[in-house]
Amino acid sequence: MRIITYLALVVALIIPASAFAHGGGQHIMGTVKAVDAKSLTVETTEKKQVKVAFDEQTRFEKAGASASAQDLSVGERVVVHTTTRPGVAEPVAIMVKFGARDSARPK
Amino acid sequence: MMRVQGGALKRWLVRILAAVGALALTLLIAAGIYFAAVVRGGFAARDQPSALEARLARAARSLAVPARAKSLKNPLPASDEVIARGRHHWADHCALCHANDGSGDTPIGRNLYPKAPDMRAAATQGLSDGELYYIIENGIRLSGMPAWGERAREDDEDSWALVAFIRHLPKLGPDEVRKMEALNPKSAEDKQEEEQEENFLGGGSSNPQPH
Repeated sequence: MRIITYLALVVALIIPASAFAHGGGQHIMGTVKAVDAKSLTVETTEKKQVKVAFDEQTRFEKAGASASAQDLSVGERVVVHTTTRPGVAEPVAIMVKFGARDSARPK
Repeated sequence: MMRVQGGALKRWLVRILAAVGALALTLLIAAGIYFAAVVRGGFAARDQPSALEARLARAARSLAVPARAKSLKNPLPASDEVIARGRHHWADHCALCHANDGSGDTPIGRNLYPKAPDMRAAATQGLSDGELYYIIENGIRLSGMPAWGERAREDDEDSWALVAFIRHLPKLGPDEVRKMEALNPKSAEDKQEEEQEENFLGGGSSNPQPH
């Protein structure tokens, strides 16, 4: 019986099992302090500065439409959804949203 | 003469047995070292599977798909309508782990063990239509992929539309991803967070709005 348990353990080590996790993503809200083609620095609503890197998978959305990093300007309000990537020290942006949709503008 | 031949055969057998024994001992020592290292390091789903594990798992997955299923061809055309149907289904059922763009870059997908694969890459795109269909319908044991279909069914059009959509993933455009975001299942908390973000971008407070 013990041998079977050890064998099952070895098989479980070789053929992986599944598990769930919450992930390391963050949603950052604030204003743009600095921006270039590779990164963005956001001053959060708690007045902390956070640097976020872009990669080839980062998406930019201005008022709900496709945009790019060049459309961002300093002082603009921004919401950044981030993730972590192995070997990258700072959080990496998955989605950068800026510009209000018409429905969100104060009336 | 016979005695000479018998002696040579015996020596040959002893050499073979010694070689097999040495190989078995080497494998046993290697397995012991690997086992000790794993036990010492502990288990975590966030680890990246080793190349050996990945290769073994792919081989096991390939063996798990019957030859008949592998040879199946998608009976649906890769038309805009079929792709739209697959995209809708993907956004609603699959994107939680696989992401709308098929990258697997979601909190669940990147923390599974094994990770949700990048469905746009050759390892997935190289599978036959039948293999993709079989995996959708029957799942993959010891992974996060469940069986979505009924046993031994080969005509589930929703799954075939997904196969067409998986083939389309490498060409998926940002407008399609945006359409899918509207279809992704959202919890009450997600909806509230989205509302809060839109309110903030519109010049309002970053605090939750009263309802």
